[in-house]
Amino acid sequence: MISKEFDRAGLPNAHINAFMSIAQSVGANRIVIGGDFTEPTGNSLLPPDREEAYRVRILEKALEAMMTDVKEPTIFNVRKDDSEEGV
Amino acid sequence: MTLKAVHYINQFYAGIGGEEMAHEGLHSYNGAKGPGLGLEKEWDGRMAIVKTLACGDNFFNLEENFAAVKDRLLEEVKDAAPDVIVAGPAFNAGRYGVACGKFVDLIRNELGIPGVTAMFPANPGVELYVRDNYIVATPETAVGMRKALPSLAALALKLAKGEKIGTAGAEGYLPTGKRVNELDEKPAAQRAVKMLLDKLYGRPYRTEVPARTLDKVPPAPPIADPSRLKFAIVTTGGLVPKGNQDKLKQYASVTYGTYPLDPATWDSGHYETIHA
Repeated sequence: MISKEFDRAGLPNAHINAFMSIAQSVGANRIVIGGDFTEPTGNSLLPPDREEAYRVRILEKALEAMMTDVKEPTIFNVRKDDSEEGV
Repeated sequence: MTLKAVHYINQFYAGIGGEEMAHEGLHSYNGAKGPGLGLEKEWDGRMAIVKTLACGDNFFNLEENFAAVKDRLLEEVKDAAPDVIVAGPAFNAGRYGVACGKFVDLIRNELGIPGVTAMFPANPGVELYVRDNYIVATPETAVGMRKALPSLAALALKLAKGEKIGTAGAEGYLPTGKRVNELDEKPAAQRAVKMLLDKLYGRPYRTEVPARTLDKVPPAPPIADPSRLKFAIVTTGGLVPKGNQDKLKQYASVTYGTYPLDPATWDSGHYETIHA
C-alpha cells in the first residue's frame, strides 16, 4: 500500500517482502521476495559473513528492481544462501 | 408539532445565478427554496424548512471566506433552532458537494445538530466527509432530482425525530466505514452456513463483510541515473528510536516517524521494535 502511494507520487521503490501471496494480492509493482516473515532482509540462522552477503544480495535485488522498467506487479527473487548457487 | 429543518443550497439552486455567481457570499432566506420545496412535499407537513442558506460554490470553498462567514452561519442556524440540517443534493457537482459536506460537518461539530447531505458517490465531497457524516447517494446529475429527494427527505426526517439510524444499506446513505456491533438472534455459524448454501444454490445472498478491493497503480518509472541516488528506508516493522519518544502506535497507527540514518547508532542500544 505504501509502495503504491510512492508509485503514485512517481518515486521508484521496491517492496521487500516475505510472502508471495500477499505481495501479489496487494499488488505492489516491484516486489522482492527476501527472507522470512520475521526478517525479510536477512536470515539470522546463517553464519554472520554469509548472512551479510545475503543481506547485500537482497538490497542489490531491490536496487535492480528499482532500475527495471515494469508494467505491472513483478516479483524479483533472491537466492536464500550460497548453497543455492546456480539455482 | 411540525419539525424544523435548515436547508443549505448553492447559488444556482437559490436562483441567484449560475457559474458567474459562484463567488456570491452567504444569503439567508425564510422558508424553502429550490429543491427545498421538493423536500417539503416529501415531508408532507411533518417537517418544514424554516430557513434556507445559500452560498456561491467558489465563495464557500475558499478558506478565508469560510472563516469569515463561519460565525454568521452558526448564528443563522442557532437562530433557526432546527431539528436537522439538510444540504444539497449536489449530484456530481464537486465544489457544491464539498460545500455541502463542509456545512453539515461544521454544524454537527459546533452545534451538535444532526445533518444529512446527498451527492453522487464519486463526488469529492464524499471522500472528505463520509466518515463522520450522513451522505445519501444520488444519481450523477440533477436530472435525477426526483430520485434523490425521497431518500434524502426520509433520512432527514428520521434524524429530526431522533430515531435510531440503521445500516447504510437500509437507510440509503453511503457507508461511513464505521462498524457497530449488533446482536443477531441467529449465531454466526448458522448465518454463515445459510449464506454458503444460498451461494451454492445460486440464490441471492448478502455478504456481512464486503471484501476490500485494491486498486492497481501504474509503477513509477525506473531509476534513470544510478550514479546519484538518495535512499529512504520505509519499514512497518515497528522500528523506532529507543524509548519511542514520538509514541508511534503499535497498531492502527495514524502517524509515522522520520529518523536520520547514522551508522554509529545501528544497534539495540539506540533502536527497538514496538511491533506487537
